[in-house]
Amino acid sequence: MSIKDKENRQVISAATVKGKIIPRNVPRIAWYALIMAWLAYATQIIARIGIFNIEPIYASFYNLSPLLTLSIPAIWTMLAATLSIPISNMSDRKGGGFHRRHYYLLFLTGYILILGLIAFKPIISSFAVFFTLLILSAIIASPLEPLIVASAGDWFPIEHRGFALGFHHTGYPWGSLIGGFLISMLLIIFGKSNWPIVFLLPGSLAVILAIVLYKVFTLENQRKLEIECQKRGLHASLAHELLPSEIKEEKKELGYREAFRLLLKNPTELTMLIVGFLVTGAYWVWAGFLPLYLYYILHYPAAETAFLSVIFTATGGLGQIIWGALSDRIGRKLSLIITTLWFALGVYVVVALAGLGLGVLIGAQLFAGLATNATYPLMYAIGYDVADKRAKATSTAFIDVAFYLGGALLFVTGYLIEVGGGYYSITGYLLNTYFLIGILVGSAILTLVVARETSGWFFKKDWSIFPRRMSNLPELEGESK
Amino acid sequence: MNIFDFTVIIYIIYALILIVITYLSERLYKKELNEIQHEMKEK
Repeated sequence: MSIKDKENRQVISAATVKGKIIPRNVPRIAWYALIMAWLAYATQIIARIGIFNIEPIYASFYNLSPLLTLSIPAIWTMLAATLSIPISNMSDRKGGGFHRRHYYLLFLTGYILILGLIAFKPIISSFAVFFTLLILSAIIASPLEPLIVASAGDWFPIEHRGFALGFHHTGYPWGSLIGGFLISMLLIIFGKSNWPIVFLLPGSLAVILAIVLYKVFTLENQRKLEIECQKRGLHASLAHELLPSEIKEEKKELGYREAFRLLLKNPTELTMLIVGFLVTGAYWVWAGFLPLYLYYILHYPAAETAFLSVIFTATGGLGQIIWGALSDRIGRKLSLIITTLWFALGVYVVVALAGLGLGVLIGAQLFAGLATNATYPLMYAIGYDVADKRAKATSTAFIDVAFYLGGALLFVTGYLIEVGGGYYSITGYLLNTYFLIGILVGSAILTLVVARETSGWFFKKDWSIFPRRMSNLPELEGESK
Repeated sequence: MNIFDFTVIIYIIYALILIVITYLSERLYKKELNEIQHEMKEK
């Protein structure tokens, strides 16, 4: 994960409450760049969501057991951070901005070419080839996310960086929604038997994006943007300028080993690492479990399943914005506890009520969605708030890796479906529901007892058993030192 | 046209466009790097 990106992502929530929600007076080129970065991110997510949404189709095509089926999104997710840190650091060292285009287009082309091979049925007639191509595509795609998120921060004025990253991050849930819809359409048009064609979809969008990115993310535009920002009294991120308030914050970064040692000593940050693994893991489990539940238990057709299993992402993006804004006022720890418990309740509501009809299934998912995606930026924000000043970026990079390693929980999901009697038995799905609720409630309790509140209503009384100083927070008057 | 032919045509179009754009981008990137180095020398 890019250094600048790491530092910037944490201000997602702050920007939505400070001043106007949509910034004015921003140069047009910055808007173009931001919209392009959003589309690039959403395109990437479309490919990712396909691997989850068409699980029932490839499970029956290769005659896979539940454990093997879910090991595909599990491994894909776990590999999604493989090259992210080295490549984004490389682009950081070059200076960000137009340099990132060079890395982004190389990896995007490699990714689309490999992913596109999966669209040929004769090539993937063997499961081993299908699996190998997916693994290769996951590794090659891994730097794309940090590179494009960093670009969103680079090409927008520093004053509105929070807005830019908050807006950009809605590309995840809303990209999933668009992806689910397009995949569903492709399956209706070409038929379930031609399912590999789904893997051509990201390419069709990537081709247009590559042309536009090549034209927009250039040194010439970077200079134009810096001049435009100066004219408007703004600070261009690309010029590596710092706001007067940020100058004091400039510091030397610690090495990875030292940063990890400090993280282990910080109870709040360590909690975010563990809870990040569990809660984001619960999200991957949810995304992997739902298509199978809708297809095998509720008997929705494969094409409808692809879309119905991402309905929750419609409110997922809204939840990120709403909870991000609320967390600045009521507190991040409180917001994280509420959204984690809400997520657990949402899982129960969807599983319990989905059988009552399509309207109820959609309504229940929209309710759950208000919390499912909101936990992610909150955990980042808390981790960032309490990290040592010399290791903010590196510390949050560890939390980011924990998020992706959470994909390992999908192995448990596959195992529970097998133990419960296979795809067609509801027992395995109920076991998974309890498993998910257990993880989420456990995470909320762990957060309550161990993590310290960093802002808001319960800053002074937050029920944590650890002293504030261990989390790099100032002791309050009257507290034992 | 059957689905296989359709996939081949689409894939070749994607591959060609992406490879050409990446090549053009790399050529531009070299020019941009040279420009920066030249400016730094002048400074």
